[in-house]
Amino acid sequence: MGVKTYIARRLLEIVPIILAAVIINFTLLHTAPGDPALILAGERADPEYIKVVREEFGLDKPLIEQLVIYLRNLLAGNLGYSYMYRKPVLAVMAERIPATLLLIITSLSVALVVGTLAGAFAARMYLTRIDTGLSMVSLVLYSMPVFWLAIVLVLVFSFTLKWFPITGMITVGVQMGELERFVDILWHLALPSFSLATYYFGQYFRISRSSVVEVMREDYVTTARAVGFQENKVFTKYALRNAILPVVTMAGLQIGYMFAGAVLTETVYTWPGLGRLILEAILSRDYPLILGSYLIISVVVALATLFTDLTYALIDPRVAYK
Amino acid sequence: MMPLLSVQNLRTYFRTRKGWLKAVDGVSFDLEEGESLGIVGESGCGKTTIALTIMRTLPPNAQVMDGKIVLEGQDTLPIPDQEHRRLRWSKVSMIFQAAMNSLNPVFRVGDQLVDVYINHRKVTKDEARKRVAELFELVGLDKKRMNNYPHEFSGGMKQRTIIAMSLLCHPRLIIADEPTTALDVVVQDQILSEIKDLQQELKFSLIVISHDISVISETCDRAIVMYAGRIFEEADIISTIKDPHNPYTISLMSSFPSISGPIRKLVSIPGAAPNLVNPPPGCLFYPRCPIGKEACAKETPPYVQVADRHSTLCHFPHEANKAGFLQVR
Amino acid sequence: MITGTLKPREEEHFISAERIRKERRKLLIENVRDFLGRYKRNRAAVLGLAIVIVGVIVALFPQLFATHEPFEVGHPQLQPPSRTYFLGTDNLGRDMYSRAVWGTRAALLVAIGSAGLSAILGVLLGAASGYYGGALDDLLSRIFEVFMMIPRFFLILVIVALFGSSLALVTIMIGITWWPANARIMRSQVLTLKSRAYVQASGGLGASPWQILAWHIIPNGIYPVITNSALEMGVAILIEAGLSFLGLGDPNIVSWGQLIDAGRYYVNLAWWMTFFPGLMMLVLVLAFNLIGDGIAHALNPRLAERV
Repeated sequence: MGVKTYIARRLLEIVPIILAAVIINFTLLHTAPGDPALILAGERADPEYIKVVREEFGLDKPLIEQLVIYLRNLLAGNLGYSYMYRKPVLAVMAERIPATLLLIITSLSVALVVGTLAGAFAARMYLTRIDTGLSMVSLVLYSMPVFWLAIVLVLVFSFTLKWFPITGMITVGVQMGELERFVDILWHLALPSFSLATYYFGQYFRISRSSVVEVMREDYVTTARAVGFQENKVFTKYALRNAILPVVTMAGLQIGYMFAGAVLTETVYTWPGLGRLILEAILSRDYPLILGSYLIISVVVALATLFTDLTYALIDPRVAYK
Repeated sequence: MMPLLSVQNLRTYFRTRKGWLKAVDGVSFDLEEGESLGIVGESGCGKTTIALTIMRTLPPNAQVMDGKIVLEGQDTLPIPDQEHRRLRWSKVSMIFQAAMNSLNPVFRVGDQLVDVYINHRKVTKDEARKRVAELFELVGLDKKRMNNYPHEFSGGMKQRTIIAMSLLCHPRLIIADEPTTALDVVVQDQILSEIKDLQQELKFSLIVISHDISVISETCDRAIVMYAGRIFEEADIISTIKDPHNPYTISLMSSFPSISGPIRKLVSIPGAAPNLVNPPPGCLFYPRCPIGKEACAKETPPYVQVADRHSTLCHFPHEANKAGFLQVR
Repeated sequence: MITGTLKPREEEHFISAERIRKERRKLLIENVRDFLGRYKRNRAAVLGLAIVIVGVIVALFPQLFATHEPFEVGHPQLQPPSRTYFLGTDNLGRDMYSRAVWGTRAALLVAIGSAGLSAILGVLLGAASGYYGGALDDLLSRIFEVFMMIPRFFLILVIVALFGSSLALVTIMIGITWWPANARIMRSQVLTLKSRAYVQASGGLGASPWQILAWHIIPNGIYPVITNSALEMGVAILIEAGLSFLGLGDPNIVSWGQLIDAGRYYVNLAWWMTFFPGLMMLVLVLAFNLIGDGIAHALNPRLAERV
């Protein structure tokens, strides 16, 4: 088997997962208390509209047929209509996704890089006081509720020290040029991404550290020492590349949690992203939006996991040859 | 003539929670140029530790407490790390145990060997690749395979790669640690005869470490029998097998079948290895020795020479020799 | 050649099921004692255990520790910590300390309930999958994979939105979405232990699969599940807190997340409203993490060696 076959196989495996997400969505819609039509149309919708929804989703027909219709609608991009925003669900989400992506990608990058390097460094100093200290710190960070950390940071840095803005992604009401706008966004991004990154730093630190320690025990590292490589070279070239693998795997598994953390962080900082959108939808009982968002997030998480798997396959030549 | 390698009174201990574990406790032997020496013993007797001490790849909780390792007239133990790294692989190299994991799985095989060669010689990458290809052919590997990954190799092929790797820098001494343990019997035989051929062709000295006396008998001129961190007998290979003067050696020989020779029941040595943290007084083999007497329990046995270049650590070497192979009643 | 003075050891040629069971039991007890000894030596882990025990006591008898009624309004509002109100009061004049004390109960209920549910489901299904193999294993492994990919937090959000919130629902949901992790661990343990000699011997002697699983495999393979469960308990607390923080928790009970949410709007006037509940959560989750780590280290003494 080669790399291409592996990629194809993984892509195929995503399908049942996405299907499962769809089925879950569908099941939720139909097991929730109330008439699905009302759920989809909104309790205060007028009867004409409810009839339209009933037809569009085939809610009179047997369940299997409904599922098929539902799938067909999904593939056409029709996730329903948000009555809070008076726009198709997909459109509403498209507007809010970039903000969340910005937050998640920034936080993930910082957490991943800093965490992995710190973990590798700690492994290098295994069981010394530096290592024990770093490990303790990371454990504490990892045990914190992310929203609490966010609030504490806001209290200290925004309210008291006034270094950073309190809420939002941009400063409203002020005219700015392109570059200024960019810097402005970064300034607003600082605290939210720091909060999110700090929480996930702990994860990557732990995995990186234990992975490096394990790799350093492997035979091929002893071989590298025996052939006369310098300790630094042994560490960076031979050990690290092998040690990153579990980190990549972990990153894939964490994507779902990152979105969860994003919801909480966005709430604290009033960041205009997907997370807050879902929350608003829940509080306003905008069910199409809720269900649609859930589905989209499931798909994104599945795709992100696929992406990490492929990255893993690139680094580890053994994978594609199973 | 000065021996190539002279190990003198080596003591390597491991730090454990209960105290120092005396893995190698006063080992001395010489290795002449072109000679091949086998170190045989049960697992845990310290034979691998000797090799690791010579190569300076001991685990962090190990410490060399005493002794000298004189290689080509120079004691290598006090040499600073930087210098030692230079002589590692160019003067002494090692063939590892169970080469299953000795190669890094995420790099190509050829690249790994090239890397090693470049580390020791100032050559271009092409020149290095040429040398690696040379060695691949020498050990019977297709040089096109240099671009493969380790997991694409069979056990025998991996072992051949490790052998090729050990020859890269024209070492004077190669230490082979259980070179065939992880392989099936047919491949074992091939590898052993190939090592023997290579030795004759390239004229390096060889130390073979194994728990299997048959491996040593095929490849070595002389043998050292180790037990509990000490040398119990030292002789040429024929005398070790046919004319042993030590109960432990005899027990070891009795537990291996031989195709030629009389049919006899195999005997397993009862009991367990001694506590290496707090070894008892007297002879360390006494609790399991079939001819052990009171003197053995109290006094450390002397290292007695019983013939030319044949010594044994025993109170009663001649009695042991006469008792011969052990049999089940 | 003369014979030596060796006598072969008297071998017992008859091995009874009773003897196997006795030997395994002895070894198990020895293992457990070793394990406890190693665990006790790890000070952080012992501290974690102590904190959790204190937490459990507080959760069982909050009345003994609280100074006021948690829902009682009317005290001076937004007071900083003082001798009467150890952790201050909130915007409705409720004593923060007492509320925080009562919050311990919710946190531990969710933690133990969800981790317990997840462990039971995971061990049973994972063991079955690993032991029987074949089609069952394939099917269950697929199910594990799919479950692992479900974004858990969002699923619970959506369910709470549709069905309303209660502590029981949240606990069950957390447990149900997480059992595959334990199942995977148990399964790989079963696969390793299945081929051990004593297991096969038991099978040969006529023990039924469930007897083998119950007496031999599960007691020996369950430790990583225990480690995982300890860590899961910490995460469960954080998840429930997150839900309460978003306003989707059970409104009838006191939860730390809820407290932090209430305090959010007064953070610059009364920082103690958000700070202390979060701190308590941090301590409890940290304790569970220390326990999990402690168990992992005690199981695998190699971790204490230097590289």
